[in-house]
Amino acid sequence: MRTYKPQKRAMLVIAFVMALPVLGFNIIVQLLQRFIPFSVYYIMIPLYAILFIIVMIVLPVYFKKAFFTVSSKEITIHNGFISTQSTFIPASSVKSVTLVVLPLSKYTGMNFVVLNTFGARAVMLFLSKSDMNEISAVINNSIRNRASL
Amino acid sequence: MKRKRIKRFFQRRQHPVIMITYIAKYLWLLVIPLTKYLIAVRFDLKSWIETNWVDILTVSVIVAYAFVRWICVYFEMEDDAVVAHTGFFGITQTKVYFSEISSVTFSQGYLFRAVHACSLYIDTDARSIQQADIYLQLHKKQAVQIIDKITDNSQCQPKYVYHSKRWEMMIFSLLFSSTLSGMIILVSLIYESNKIVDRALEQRFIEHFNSQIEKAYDFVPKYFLIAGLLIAGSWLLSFITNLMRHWNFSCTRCGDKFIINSGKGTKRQHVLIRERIIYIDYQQSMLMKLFKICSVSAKCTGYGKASKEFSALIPITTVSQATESLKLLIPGIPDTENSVKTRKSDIRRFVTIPALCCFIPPVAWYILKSILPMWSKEIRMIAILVYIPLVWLTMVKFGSAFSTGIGVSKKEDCISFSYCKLYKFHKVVVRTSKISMIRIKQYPWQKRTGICSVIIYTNSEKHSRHIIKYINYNDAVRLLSDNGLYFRR
Repeated sequence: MRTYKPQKRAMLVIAFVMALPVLGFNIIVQLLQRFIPFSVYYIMIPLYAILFIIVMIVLPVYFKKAFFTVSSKEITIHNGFISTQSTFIPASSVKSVTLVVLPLSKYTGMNFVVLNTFGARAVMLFLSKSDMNEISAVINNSIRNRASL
Repeated sequence: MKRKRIKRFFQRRQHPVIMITYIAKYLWLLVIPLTKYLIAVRFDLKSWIETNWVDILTVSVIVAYAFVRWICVYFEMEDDAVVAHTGFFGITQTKVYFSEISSVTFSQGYLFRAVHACSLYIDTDARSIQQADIYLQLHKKQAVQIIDKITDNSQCQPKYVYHSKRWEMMIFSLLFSSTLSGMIILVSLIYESNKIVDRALEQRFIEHFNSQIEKAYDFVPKYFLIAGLLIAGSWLLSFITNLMRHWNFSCTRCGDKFIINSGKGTKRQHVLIRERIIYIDYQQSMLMKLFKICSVSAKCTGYGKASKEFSALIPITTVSQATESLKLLIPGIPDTENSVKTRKSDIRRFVTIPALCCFIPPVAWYILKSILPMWSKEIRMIAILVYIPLVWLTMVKFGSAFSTGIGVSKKEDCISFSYCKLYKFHKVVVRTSKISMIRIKQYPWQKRTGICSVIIYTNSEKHSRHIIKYINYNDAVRLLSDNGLYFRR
């Protein structure tokens, strides 16, 4: 059984992607400041507060908690922010594996493995490309062995 | 030879009545004025064609399209499979092997019975979410032949038949009827009829209904009268639909198959493959629990999907009788006791949220009556209407604190779990091989008290999950991991 952790790079990418629209909105609000009858800080402070909470608390906690274990018999996914979730999937119930690879995923860690079972779906988020390929190979081998039995 | 070929052609085609469904519904809006005009010109075909040639051409094309489609859609029977050529002009070919079939549903309504037609749904576990793998509208003889071929190896096996008594069906319909489902039937009826008849008729009906309401307005406030009538009417509709759907219910175990017959107006027959049944669910409401009666449903791909009905195996009976009947219907099904249960100290966890919700209607009434004093009477009535189900929910949740739990039967390789979802109590028995995923969820404040929620996903066409709340974390992990359903840390 091997344990995999989500890529920390993905956390930085998400933080950056979330910060961009807030900064863009900030620029627009600053430009339109004279048309707004109240101080723009009333709009921007809550937005920055939400961004701060997500970037400094939610994402690090999520990335610290999350890990996945994969073997030919079982797959486990541990994640959660407020609650802790541990998901157990017997490899025998996995019907197919979907890999989601975003552009530049090698650098961003935006690789996802979706496990399709008959009646449920589980996702392993933010894996490195090599981890994603390794997980997919293990599960696909298990499916292949099952089919050849 | 030619006669034989023609006979073979018809044997493989759907019932010609299907052409009516292939024809667009709005065609009638074109046909009725055309007929009226033909009568008006006293069957002078020449002038009729000259004036309406565009409409006649349109109708002819639509009818010809339906006819061509009827010819192109056909099915074939092989020794071990049924092949259906469906879709537009039969371009989709679906081959279903008998060994892969999960359920077959035969349905025949009043109109279809008059022309000896019926609908046949064939389902497999191939995750066809919205529709059956094969759906054909056939002559009754053809459908019976297909069903006979599918059940061929079970015909000479010993049979065990479970029959539902009529008074049981009355109670079942009484308990399982809801205003909401009645409302859905009513809305779909109005929608369907609106497609066929014009809006003028609908308008006339609404005006008549409003005038009747106005007469009664002198005694009861108008809106409450409408709401009351709507609720009572919808419930009655749901009750009648349920009663008609499950009337003369019988379940026959025949080898490795179940043959379920039911229905008064629309006759239904379901053939379920026993091995393909995903789980058995004992369902109870609070009243049923008090009177020790229950309904047993069987989750199997395709069963109850065609008309969104309750997938009953035993519609209603006493708990002890249901257990006995199930032992005969499904030998080897364990009567597992929950080994991990909620404790008395968990009662407050089950009850707290619904009990707190009970305060919302009186508080809302108190605030709103001061803001809107002219509506005080109506607000009070609404508050009472909301208050009653919330109090009932609190009582149900109190009851669920004594019945929630998980048990495992190693010998039969089954897991059973009891939980309460809204107002209904469930006890599910499922083979471990039919479990897709198990999730254990724990909030930070639950870590201190050592409780968690166990979410069990079972095989299903849709996402099917069962949430067992407020279970002791260590006990649940130990039980599941000992039986290979969870990992050990």
